[in-house]
Amino acid sequence: MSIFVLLMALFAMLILMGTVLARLSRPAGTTEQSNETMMIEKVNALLPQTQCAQCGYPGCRPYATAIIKEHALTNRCPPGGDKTIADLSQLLGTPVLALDTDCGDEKPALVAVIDESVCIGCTLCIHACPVDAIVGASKLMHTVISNECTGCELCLPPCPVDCIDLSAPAITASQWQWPRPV
Amino acid sequence: MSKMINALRMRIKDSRFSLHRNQPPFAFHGGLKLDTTKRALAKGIVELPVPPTLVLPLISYAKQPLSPLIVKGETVQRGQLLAEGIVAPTSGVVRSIEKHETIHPGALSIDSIVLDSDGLDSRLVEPNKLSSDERLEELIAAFTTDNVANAGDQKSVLATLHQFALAGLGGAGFPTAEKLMAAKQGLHTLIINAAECEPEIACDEALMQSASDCISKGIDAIVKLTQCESCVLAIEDSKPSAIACMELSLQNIDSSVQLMIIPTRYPAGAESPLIQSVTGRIIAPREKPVQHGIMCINVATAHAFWQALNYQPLDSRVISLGGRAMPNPCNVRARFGTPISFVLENTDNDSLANKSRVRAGGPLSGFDLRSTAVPVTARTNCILVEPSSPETPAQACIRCGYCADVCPAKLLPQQLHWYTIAAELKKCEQLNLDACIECGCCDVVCPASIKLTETFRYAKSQIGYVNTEQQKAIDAEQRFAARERRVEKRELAKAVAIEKRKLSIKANKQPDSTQFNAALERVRSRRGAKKP
Repeated sequence: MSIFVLLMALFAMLILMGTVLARLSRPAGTTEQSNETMMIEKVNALLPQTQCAQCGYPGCRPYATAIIKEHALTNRCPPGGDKTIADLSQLLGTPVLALDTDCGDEKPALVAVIDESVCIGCTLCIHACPVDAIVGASKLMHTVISNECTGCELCLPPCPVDCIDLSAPAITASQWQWPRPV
Repeated sequence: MSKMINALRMRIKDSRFSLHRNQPPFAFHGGLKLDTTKRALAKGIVELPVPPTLVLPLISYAKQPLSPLIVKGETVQRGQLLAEGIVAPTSGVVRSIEKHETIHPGALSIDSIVLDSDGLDSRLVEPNKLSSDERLEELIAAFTTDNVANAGDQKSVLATLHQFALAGLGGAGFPTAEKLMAAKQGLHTLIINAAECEPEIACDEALMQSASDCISKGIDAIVKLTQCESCVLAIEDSKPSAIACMELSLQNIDSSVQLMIIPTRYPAGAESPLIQSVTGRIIAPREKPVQHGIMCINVATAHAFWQALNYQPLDSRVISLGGRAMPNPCNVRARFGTPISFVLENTDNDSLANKSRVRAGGPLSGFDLRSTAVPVTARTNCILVEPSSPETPAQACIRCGYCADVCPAKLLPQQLHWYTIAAELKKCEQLNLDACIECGCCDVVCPASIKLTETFRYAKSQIGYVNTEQQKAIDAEQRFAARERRVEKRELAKAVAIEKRKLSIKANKQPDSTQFNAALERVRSRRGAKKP
């Protein structure tokens, strides 16, 4: 009987020591931090990565960080629209909200096109583009790499000659999709 | 000849096999026995005239745009390379490079070379012509040299193969140059695909009947080039005269090629069922046959390889014209870039009934065309005209499971159908939707007339679209992060520079008085000298 008690006590001590050691081996709060980073990654993966800043934050990752850390609302992403809101709500367990129209309206995906005959080569749009999708040099023609443009519209306001327009992207053979059968 | 064919018929009868055999030809899963009457065969191969204008879409097999090697207004000769994998099908002047409709289910417009024929059809003059044997020897020598030591040779092989402008003529149009280069990994079985299993399509059969010698020489050349251990020519048993022709001419070549007569069963000519029939091996989804040391080459491609060795790069192909509403079914040889309307007009097939639809590709694997002004490409193996009967409306799936029985890729079409409707694309991927060869067997057997193949085509393109969009988002984020880092670095450098400057100004606040006085003296003396 006494042996049994002794064994039990030894077992309990071992468990206790293990817990204490585990706790000591990493600084307090790391688990919460890594949890937070993981959640930010997950939220960021659901955002459309247009980097348009319509949400009021300077890009998609800052918005994801704000959603997790500051509990920013999930309805501030117009390019993502209802789908992104639904996905975020599902991930975070928050109610599905309607899109905050103060941030902007949901629009079909567009790409910027520079009217090259009007462009004066001022480089202002190149500096404004958050995803480096415009190429060109000072006093030389600029052009948008349409495959890399996210349609964020941030290049429109700085253009002094108003030569940038948004248009529907041309469908290439690799992007064409079969229609949904009825 | 007829005696021989009869003898062959007997042999073919013997070769019919039960479903489970332990010697080739092996059975593959699923498939269908379909009507094998090929009306196009009656007239041999009709040579089509060169049309006044040819259109050559600048697009690669991987659906990427190609850059043209010529400019607008340039005069080109037949056989001249116009872009990677495209040669001029005739001599003439490049009218323009502009968007033009192509053979595509959505009639997509693609940048194309528009070539005006000059009617001379003159070939590119080769300065020092070699014989086909010499050329092949040169190619083999460069092909078999060590990879690392002779990078130049490798490039020259690829360049020569690119000049051949070969594309798989079985219907998929895979660039043959790439395929042959992959054979460097070592091949144990080369399969020459002459199965041609789909109803109405008879272009390979017609070619085997009329040009079996050239085909055999082409097979011989490919065997020598790839140095494969064995070569099998697989033909369906529904083509006795083609088998007879090939058997005769295969005796006249150096390489030993095994003629394998496989039972007629659609889709025996598709790559993975064919490999299974011939070798018994199953190619898993996302695996390539060359990983197993197996390669399939279409019989017409072998013919084209021989022609290309003789300085006639691939610029035309045989097309079967058929379908229930085709007035005059036949096989034609048309140059690439010939409009389909021109093909139909020149074969007395233009008097189409108003309510008929034109299809590209076979009756099962093809699709309807929206316009006939589209040009023929290496992939156009068949043009069909079908009466446009009202479509049977799809009914609810009754879960009979016939579709799974006939699926040659061993998929579960029913399940895939449900998942596609429910937009569960991830689950479709898990069920290997990308292994679907779109053969259409499931459509034929479906008692509820559900358009399964169309559903899978849609799901596949959706998966592709979602994946590329995701990749684009990831790329955009990376570029955004890189830009943030760059901007931060620049701002930091600016701040440091300002701080440095401030410090240096502070340090130099008391200027050196001797220097100052010396400068003052210099100015004064100059002023004094100027004064009269």
